[in-house]
This record gives sequence, structure tokens and C-alpha cells, in this order.
Amino acid sequence: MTLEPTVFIVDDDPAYLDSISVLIQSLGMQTKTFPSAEAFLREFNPQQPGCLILDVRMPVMGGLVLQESLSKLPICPPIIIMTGHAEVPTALRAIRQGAVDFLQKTFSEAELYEALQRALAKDATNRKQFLRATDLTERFGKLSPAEHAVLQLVLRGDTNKKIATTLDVSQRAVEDRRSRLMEKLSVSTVPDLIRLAIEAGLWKGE
Amino acid sequence: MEPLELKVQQLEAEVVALRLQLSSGLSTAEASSVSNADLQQEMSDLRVSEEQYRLLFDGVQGYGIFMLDPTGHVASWNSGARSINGYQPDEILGRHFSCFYLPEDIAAGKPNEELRIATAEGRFEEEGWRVRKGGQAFWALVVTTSLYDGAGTLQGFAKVVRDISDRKQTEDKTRLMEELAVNAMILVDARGLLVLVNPQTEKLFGYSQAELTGQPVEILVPESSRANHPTQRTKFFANPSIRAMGAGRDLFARRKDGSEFPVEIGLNPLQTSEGLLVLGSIVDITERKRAEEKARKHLAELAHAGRLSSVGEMFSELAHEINQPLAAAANYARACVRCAESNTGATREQLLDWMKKAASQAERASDIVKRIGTFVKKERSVRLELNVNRLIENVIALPTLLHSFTEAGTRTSVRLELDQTLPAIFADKVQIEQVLANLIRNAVEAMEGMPDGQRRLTVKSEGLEGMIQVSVSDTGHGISAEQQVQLFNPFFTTKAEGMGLGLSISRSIIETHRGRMFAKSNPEGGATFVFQLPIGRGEAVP
Repeated sequence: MTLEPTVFIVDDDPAYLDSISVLIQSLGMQTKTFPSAEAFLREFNPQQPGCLILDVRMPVMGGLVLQESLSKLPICPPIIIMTGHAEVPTALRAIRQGAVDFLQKTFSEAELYEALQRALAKDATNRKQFLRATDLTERFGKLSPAEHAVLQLVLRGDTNKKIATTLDVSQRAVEDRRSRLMEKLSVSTVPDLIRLAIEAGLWKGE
Repeated sequence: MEPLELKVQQLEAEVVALRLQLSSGLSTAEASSVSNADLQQEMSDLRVSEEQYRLLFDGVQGYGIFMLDPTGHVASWNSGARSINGYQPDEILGRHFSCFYLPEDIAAGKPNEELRIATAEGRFEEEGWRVRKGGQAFWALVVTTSLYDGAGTLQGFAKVVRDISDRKQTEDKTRLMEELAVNAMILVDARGLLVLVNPQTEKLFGYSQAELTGQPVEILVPESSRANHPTQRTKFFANPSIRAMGAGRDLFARRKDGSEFPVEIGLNPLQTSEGLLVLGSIVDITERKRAEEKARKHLAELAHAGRLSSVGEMFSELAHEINQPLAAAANYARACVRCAESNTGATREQLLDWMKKAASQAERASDIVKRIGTFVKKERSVRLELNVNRLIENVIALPTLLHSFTEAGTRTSVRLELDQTLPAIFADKVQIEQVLANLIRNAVEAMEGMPDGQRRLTVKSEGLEGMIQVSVSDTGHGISAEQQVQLFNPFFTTKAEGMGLGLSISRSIIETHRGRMFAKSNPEGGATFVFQLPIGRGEAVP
């Protein structure tokens, strides 16, 4: 499995599919082509970074349908919708479904290049966010229920003493749990802990 | 100018009326937005309703038909009546027909009241509750017709009963009611003699009851089919069944004065004490034929309008087809350029491969264009002697255009200045109408956004030496000198949604007719598009 970003292309016109793949390769990017939406779904690996160029007008499963099913995945490559005849309603629907770009087949090379750069940059950001989110979930998942309880009260700004009273445990126990959870989350100060909690969506504010 | 405007309004009203007549199939679709799909839908809807119509008439199986003697006792009984009312003939013959009514109706004297009305007025019809054998009530459509002999003496009644409990469509019921009410009913015996006829028969055929009873039924058959009729009749008596006569053929009947009219005839064998009799129910379908003809004409008109508007759609489809290989060729060529420039990545073989592919894609585009060429040529042009004024009037009355004159509450005044002394041209009607429709549509669109008082469309026809000239003028935004140069070029357009093909196609149509076409700006604003066509046959047509 290569982790080099790849431009996936789905188009039912084999000549067009090959030509745009050649052109994108000449722009210095790696490509992988699919003759139909079904073929793409069969071979698609969500781990592979990249972006997807999709023809809206294909038999059986159109580009918009594929786009819709992909958009339900936790992470999917950004999509550039491509059409022979730009229609406003199609464009609107594609964008509403989260397409990053909309290209007419009469695009210029520069337009294509920019669209690809934007899409790949978006993918990189998406993946970073996704990895971070996965990482956070994992880290917070390691906490025991008792540590979670302490965490909530720390986030509220309570002192160890107050936490001990609230949870009806010794102050020593609170200190222990507190240092263990800091260790598990690999943070060393309370501000860092709060920052992490905000990122993970655990910080609801005061 | 006033009368012409009036005429346009009348035409408009007529179109609306026509559409109302076509009720279910056509009323929903606005003619102004008829796409091909709509049109096909409409056509198949119309076919469906025709089909329903036919079933309604042919479906005599669904009717219970029986006769009563003058005092209301059942005198005959057919199989339809058996399946609706549930009685076998031997159970019901001779019994009084009040057993078909609810007890409260009997108490109110309803059965005899119906016979009284049928006697006085020739018929009685209603929708109401009736009772089957065993007491189950059902909602029935009932028509009672009085029957007389030659001496004018009441001989009894024919009753047609239909169980309409499960029929939700009131429209059908109403129509059925109307049709049944105007049926002529005749009773024919095995020898082919008319035994009884109803008053409606007198009205329809112009004979009195006395003139008809005892006569061969062939007296009502047009002379052309008379010779054959007895054989058909004998065959029917040999193998009687409830059915429509004629099986899909157009049937005609003959009046006393010799005139003929289109009919539909249902045949119902009835077993009586006097042997087998056949009750024929005859419907005059002159009006329906007329309405169908009108509907057909209107559909043809819509189809024509649909074709005019689908030109644009067809070209957008073609544009896609051609664009595909062109875009592929461009991609290969760009890749070659890029690799040649950067001098990296691609081998000589690779570059060659891409260039060959680019060439073959360009050829593919050119093949598509060639295919269109032969396709267009195949549409043979049919040239006839035509009066250009009639074409102008036809096109102006097209619903799509009529609608455009009053679109979005605006009002375009339409003025026709037609020289009624013009000689005929020799041309393809549809093509010239296409040109006219195109010019008129353009003119209306050119006046978009102008205040009402300033939206004036003028279509003028006049004779020049050896030519006729038609000009379409508007009071719109006019054309700049720059636009005038490009106006007739394919794909030149000033409209956001136009393909820019209308004028170029129009001009090529006019040129294949050995005419010419041009545009000019009006000194007082707006533009005029002019075409000229040679008078008469001109030279041989390709």
C-alpha cells in the first residue's frame, strides 16, 4: 500500500479516463482510474490518501450517488465533480453534498491543477484531524470511570480538597487519580489538560 | 391592428378550451413548457383514456340487462343480470321487480314510481341502492327504457343495471349515465325482425315506432353493409354472447332520410318465453368522433411545438457527445506539451502513444459530426406549394408562442401586415414554420424587460420581384454593429441559456430554399429579421 497521495478518477468513457489520467501524471501526481462507480467502491481503500475526480454522468450509479454514499464514511477523499455540461442544480447538489470543486470538462490545465492542489490539501487536513480525533478518543478511552469523574471536576476548576469531598474519597486518592490521568493523557499542566479536553469535545465550559 | 389582437385572444381562448376538453390527459401540462417527455406522457395518457372509453362501451359484459312486462314483472333475464343480481332465470322470471329494492324503497312506492316516469318520459335513470338475492345491497346505476310496439302500445321496459359499488370515479359514472340515457334500444327476434324499439330509437333514426316494428333490422343498416348483415345476424343467433358489434371496425347506421352516422352497438341475447331475442343498444358517437378528431389535431399541434423547442435540447445533447472526445484529445495534447517542456518523466514512446491517442480522439469527434450530417440529410425535405401567410398564422397561433406574448403578466402587441395577394412559394412547411417560430421567439425575447406599451411585434409579408419577403420586427434592445457580423454564426448567442444555433439553422434552411436571410437595426429601435424566398417551384430540389 502506497501512502503517496493519489488522484482517483472515475469516468465511464475509457478514452477520456485514460487521457485525464495521463494529463494528471504529467502534472506530477500519481493516479488510479476506475471505469465505474461500482468498481471504485469495490477497490477503494479509505486509508489511502488522495482525492477523487468524479464524472456526474455515468450509467447505473451516477457520480452524485457515489458521492452521497462516500460522504457517509468517517473519512473519505475530497471530491471534484466533473461534468460535460455544467448544470446549476447538479452543481448545487454536489456542493451541498460536500464536493470541494466542480469542473467542466472544458477546464484549463491551471484550473485542474488548482482544483487538485486544493483537494489534496483538504485531504491532508482531513486526515490529520481524523488521526488526531482517533488519537484523542483512544487516549481518553484509557481513563477508568473513577479517573473520568476526577477529570470532570478538575475541568470545572475544583480544588483537590473539594473534589475529595464531592466524590467522598480521601484527598490522597484524588491526587493519585489526577496524576494517573495526566500521565495517560500525556499532559503535564492543567492548561494543557484543558486544551486537550476542548479538542476532544469534553470541555463544555463553565 | 385591433381585430388582429382580438384574433390572437380568440385563438388563445380556443386553445384553453381545447385543453379543458382533453381534461385528464392534457389539462395539467402547460403547453408552453411541453418537453418531449411531457408530450409522450400526454399522448399515452390520451391513449389510455381512449382505451377506457372503448372498454366502457365494449364492456357490455358488466351490464345486467333484463326486461319487464308493463306491470313490472320480469319477462327476460340475461347472464349479466344473473351475475349482478344473483338469480337464476327460473327463480326470477315472472316475479315482480320490486324484489330488487330495499324494503324502505318498496314501502315508499319507488319501483312503481320509476315505471311511471319511464312510461311518461321514455326513460328513467338513477344511481341508487339495489338488493341482490339474499338481501345484500349494492350501489347500482340503473337505466329503464320503455318499449313500444308498432301500434304505440307499451309492451314493457328494458332495464340496464350496472354494479358501480367499487367504482370511485364519478366522472366515469356521469359519462356512462349520459351515454346510456341516449342509447337507442331495439329488440330483434331470430328472424331478424324488429320486435320493440324505444323512443330514443325514433329520435335517432327518424322513423316512428310503427314504421319500425315488424321490419327487418337491416332497415337501420347502411346500404353498403346490408347484403352481408343477415349472414352475420344468423351467425350471432347461432352462438349468442354479450358483446360489442363490429369488433374494432367503424360502424355506421342509416337514418330514414338515408344519411349515415357513426355508432357503437352492444348486443345482448335475452332468453324469453318467445325464444331467443337480441337487445341491441345503439349509441350515436358523432360527437365523440368529432371531439377525438379535435383532440388529435391539438396533439399534433403540440407535437409540432414540442419539436420546435426540442431542437435546443438535441443540440445540447450533441454538444456533450462531441465535447467528450475533444476534451480527451486536449488532455493528451496538454500532457505531451508538459512533458516535452519539462523534458522529464515521459519516454519518447510514451509521448508518441499519447499523440496518437490525441489524434484518434479528434477523429472520433469528427466521426460524430459526420454521423449528424447524414442523420440530418436523412430527414427528407418535403416541398409543397404553400401560402406563406397561412404559415405565419399557424405559427403565431402555436400555444408556446401565444403564451410568450403574455408571459409573466406582460403584454406584447402582435401585428400582422400580410399581403393577401402573394403568390405561392414552393417549400418545406415544417422547416419554414421552424424559421418563423424561431424569429418570433427571438423577437419576443429581445423585448424582455421592456414596458408593456413598448413591446410590439410585427410580422409582415410582401411581394418583391420574383420573391416574397417576410420580416419580423421587434421593439427590443436592437443589435449592435458588432453583433450583426456574428449573428448568424453557429454558437453565437447573447442569451444566458441559448446554444446560439437558432439563427444559423434558420439561415441554412432559407438558403437551401434558394432564399436569403439578413438582419437590420430599426431606426426607431429594435431589430428586424428578414427572409426572402423565390416564388413558385424554382429549380429542382436536391
